[in-house]
Amino acid sequence: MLSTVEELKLIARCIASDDRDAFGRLVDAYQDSLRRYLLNLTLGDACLTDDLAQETFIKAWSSIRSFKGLAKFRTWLFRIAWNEYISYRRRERPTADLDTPGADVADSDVHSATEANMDVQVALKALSPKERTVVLLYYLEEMPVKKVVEITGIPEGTVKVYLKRAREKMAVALSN
Amino acid sequence: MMDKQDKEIARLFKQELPAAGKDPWFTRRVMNRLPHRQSRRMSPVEVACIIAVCLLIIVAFIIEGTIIISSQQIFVRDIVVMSTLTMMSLGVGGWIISPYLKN
Repeated sequence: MLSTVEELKLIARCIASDDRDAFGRLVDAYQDSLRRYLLNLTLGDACLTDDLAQETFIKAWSSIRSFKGLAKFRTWLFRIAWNEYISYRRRERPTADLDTPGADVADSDVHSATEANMDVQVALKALSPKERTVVLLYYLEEMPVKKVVEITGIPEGTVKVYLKRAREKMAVALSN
Repeated sequence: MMDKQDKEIARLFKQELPAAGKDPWFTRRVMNRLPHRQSRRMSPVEVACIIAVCLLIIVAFIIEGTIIISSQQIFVRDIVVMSTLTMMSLGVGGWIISPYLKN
């Protein structure tokens, strides 16, 4: 894991001299958590995860000069990833709604090793894409509500409502 | 702040949700797809300033050269002025060609 200082040095090298090696180190540092988030957001679609993750890093490289350092790089990267996911859904399913649970169930290729594993993934499937991203960012990526708001652009009140709703749905799914 | 239920859900997520498998080639694939940066074009104002500075340096060289030839003597002042003009020429020249050398 990169420290804040190391991260800022790498970003400065990318901006000042288009240092691809520095950007490669950033990709190495963040690819695991980004790919894990996208894998669970897409309900286990490994191919889509790989595509979205690559597109996220390519977009990050192209627009790195617009990174002002006000948010952490990780927050900025995850925001790009969420926007890439929304763009993908709009292209593939222009009529599907991000607030509707189960709208993307057909995408999934759920793989599970244990019963508990299956239960958690079933519980995630019961959430809408917006609820799912909020839940993954808050619980899996351990981001505070303010960071979730920055990444998704969803108002804080709505994020808290989604988390409350998600807890209720998860409790129902996990008890079943 | 996470309460007890939140912590339990977080623990379950970390334990049970799949992680994307290790992919040693992922970074290489991303790097191969990165677009090359486009070099910044100079604005007309920047070009005009560079031409003006170059002309000033050339004029200064000519004037100083004329002074040295007409006086038929070289003073310390002449050496300092010529050295300064040479350094300025090298500096401006280096600044102009450095983007091309970098590419």
